[in-house]
Amino acid sequence: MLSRVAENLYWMSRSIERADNLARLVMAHQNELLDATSALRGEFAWHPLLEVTSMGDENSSEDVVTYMVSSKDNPDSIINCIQLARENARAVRDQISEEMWLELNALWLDLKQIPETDPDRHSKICDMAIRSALQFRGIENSSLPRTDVWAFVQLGEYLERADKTSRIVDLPHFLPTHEVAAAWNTMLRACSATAEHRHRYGGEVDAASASTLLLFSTTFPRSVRFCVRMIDELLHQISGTSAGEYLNEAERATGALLARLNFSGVEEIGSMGLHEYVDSIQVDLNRIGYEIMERYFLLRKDAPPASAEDYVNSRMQAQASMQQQQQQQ
Amino acid sequence: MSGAVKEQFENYAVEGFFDEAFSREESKCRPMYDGAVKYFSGLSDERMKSSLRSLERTFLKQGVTFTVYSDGQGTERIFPFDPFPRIIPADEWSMIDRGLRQRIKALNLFLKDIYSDRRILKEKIMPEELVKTSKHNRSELAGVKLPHDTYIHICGTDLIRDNDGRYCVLEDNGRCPSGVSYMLENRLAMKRTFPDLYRQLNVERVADYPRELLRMLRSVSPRQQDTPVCVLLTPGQYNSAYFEHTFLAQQMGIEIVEGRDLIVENERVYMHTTRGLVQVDVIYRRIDDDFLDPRFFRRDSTLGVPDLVKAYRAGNVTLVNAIGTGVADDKATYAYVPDMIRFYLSEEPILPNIETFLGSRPDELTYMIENMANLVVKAVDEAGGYGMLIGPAATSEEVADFREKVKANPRGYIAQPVISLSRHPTFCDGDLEGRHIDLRPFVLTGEDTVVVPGGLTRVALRKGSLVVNSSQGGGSKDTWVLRETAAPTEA
Repeated sequence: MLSRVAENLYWMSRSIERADNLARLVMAHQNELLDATSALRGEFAWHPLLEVTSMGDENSSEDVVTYMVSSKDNPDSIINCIQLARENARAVRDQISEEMWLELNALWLDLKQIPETDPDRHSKICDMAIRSALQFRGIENSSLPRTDVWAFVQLGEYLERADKTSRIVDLPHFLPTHEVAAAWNTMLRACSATAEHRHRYGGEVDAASASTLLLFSTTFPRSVRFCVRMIDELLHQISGTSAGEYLNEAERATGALLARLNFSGVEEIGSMGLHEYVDSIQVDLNRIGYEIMERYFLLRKDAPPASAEDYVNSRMQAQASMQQQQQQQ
Repeated sequence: MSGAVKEQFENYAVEGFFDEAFSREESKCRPMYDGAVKYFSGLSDERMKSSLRSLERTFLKQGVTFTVYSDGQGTERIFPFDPFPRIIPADEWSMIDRGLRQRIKALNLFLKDIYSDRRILKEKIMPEELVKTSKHNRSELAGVKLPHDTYIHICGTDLIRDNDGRYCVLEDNGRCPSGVSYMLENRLAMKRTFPDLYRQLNVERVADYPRELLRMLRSVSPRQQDTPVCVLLTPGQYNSAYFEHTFLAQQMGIEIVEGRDLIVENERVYMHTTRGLVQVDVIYRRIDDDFLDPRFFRRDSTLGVPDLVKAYRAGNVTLVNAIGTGVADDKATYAYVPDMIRFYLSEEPILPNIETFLGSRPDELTYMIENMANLVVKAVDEAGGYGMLIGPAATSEEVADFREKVKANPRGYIAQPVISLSRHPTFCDGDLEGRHIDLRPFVLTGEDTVVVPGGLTRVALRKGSLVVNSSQGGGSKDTWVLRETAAPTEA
């Protein structure tokens, strides 16, 4: 696959995931705010979210929710992420399934229909982003051949999700102490983990149980460990290396982080503290993102030549399965 | 005034023009339109409205759009579409088909000739000066050997019909003709919306175009291997025809690349993939000559590939269309195409040109200057309706202004009489009215030549307008070429 195409697929997927996670966080926080005590009301109510998502240096005159949801000036606002996802999808329309493009394009057209004056504009945008992201993943799952196209889309999805979940776990750090308990609920809700938590731990929500679920669960698909394990598998799928072997820096960085999560998570939190631990996870995730870019996206003349046969085979496979799907319509 | 569809047909007026569907004398329906007229007249108002709505939704949802830059936002619009198909009977089409084959053959022989032996110039069929001064002449690339001696692999000839219904060639478009995706999408939309009418009429398939295009691209590969690597080179996703680029690449199952995806090493072109470098054999490029190679043509081009021309010259990559085909697109060259046909093929042209006066011929220049207010004057190297004067519609200042331009650079202009394009019934805001149309069929040439039975019929949607370009209020129709046999076969 063309490096540029891989990059577009990856960013398409990351941007959707980013919009989805931000929308979830906004909705969950909104819900908690309604029950919050006075300390969390008023103008600082939304600032913890800015901190958590690293949009902290906001000094526009717009209110914080607008800034996060629909601002044109904030490159990471939900609206901008969706637009970016669509632009990336548009650049690789010939690679993804028709339905994936239609879903994203429809979302983009629908969002533009919501009038600026609509009092429910923000929740409508969040609702649509969440629902559409779910649909998009569903379509992706049921229509994309399991080739490199799939792998790079998934890579973007899991890397972004790992990053966002780790940030969401950090939310209590930015709240006044007596509001921290409420934040555990927000965290779980933002990750659609409330039911899973209840199922596993019963009714009580506390720091240990909530963060253990979101960071270390091997079965919950939004946990950091689950996501990193997926990244590990995907990178191996792309390079064709067997599990346990590491061909490039991206694979090595992922393997190292996975080992941390597998073997020493609780101890590390105990010694460094949750906030610092989560910070260090994010540093590792950034490193993985950087190495993926170095290995697969940047134009290098010294890249090893591929055998033409290899290329044609993988290409024909993808083409054949694409055509097979088209026959069914 | 809007009325039921049946009423709209009853009120339809030919108004003295050549109308595709109705004869001028008694406004009688031409035989090939019988079925369509009966069909549309039989539709209820509601059915018609809902069909129009569903067509529009289909195009918008499919993202069948082009980009308009003039409003400052680069807005995406759908290309307006009229559901009343243009219908061409088999015998008419067979004449067009032969005419197009003849013409493309002569044009390719001409390009090979002027970039090698220059016989046509030596024998004074065409003035040497004219070729030498053509803006798109690439004599520095003379002598490059091309597979099957094909220069124009993809041609989008513009045809019009004059007041007597005679098909004439308006332009040859041998550089990067666009619009073929609209032909394909229009057909899909029509089949989806009016399947009963479509089935009834026994229409030639156009859906094979992408397969034929790929076959042609492979046939001109310089490397003889089972599956040559073909790519489509696009300027990028902000190009107005980007939709078409992805559409075609997807249909053919080839990569769509940008200049930055390609590098040239050892006079070979490679694309950068996640698995390393892969050599490219054929580039279907949708970028003008000037932007192809910043080391050879425009230095400021960010779209091109450095040293691409070196690889091309070495014969290691085929460009589709070849470099330098613009000479054949020069509007002064156009005037010599009938002579080319006689010179190279010893045949008479099947499709006539429009009468053309050249600024480079002194007596014709005089005529042009004296009669400018009654002529259409065109700059020889412009396209898309730019650099053009329609005398009868222009103010006297505009005419005087153009007269000065022509006097200053006679070689740069040609003139033609005003041709009133044929009209076609078109649904306009709840009424059926005649609108002017042209026709762009597509011709593919590699080791053989394929003429797609159909094409893009463009419609000037503004009342009275003769300009069919999409940027200036143009729309399109599906073009139905009827099969010779009467028995419908299921596709």
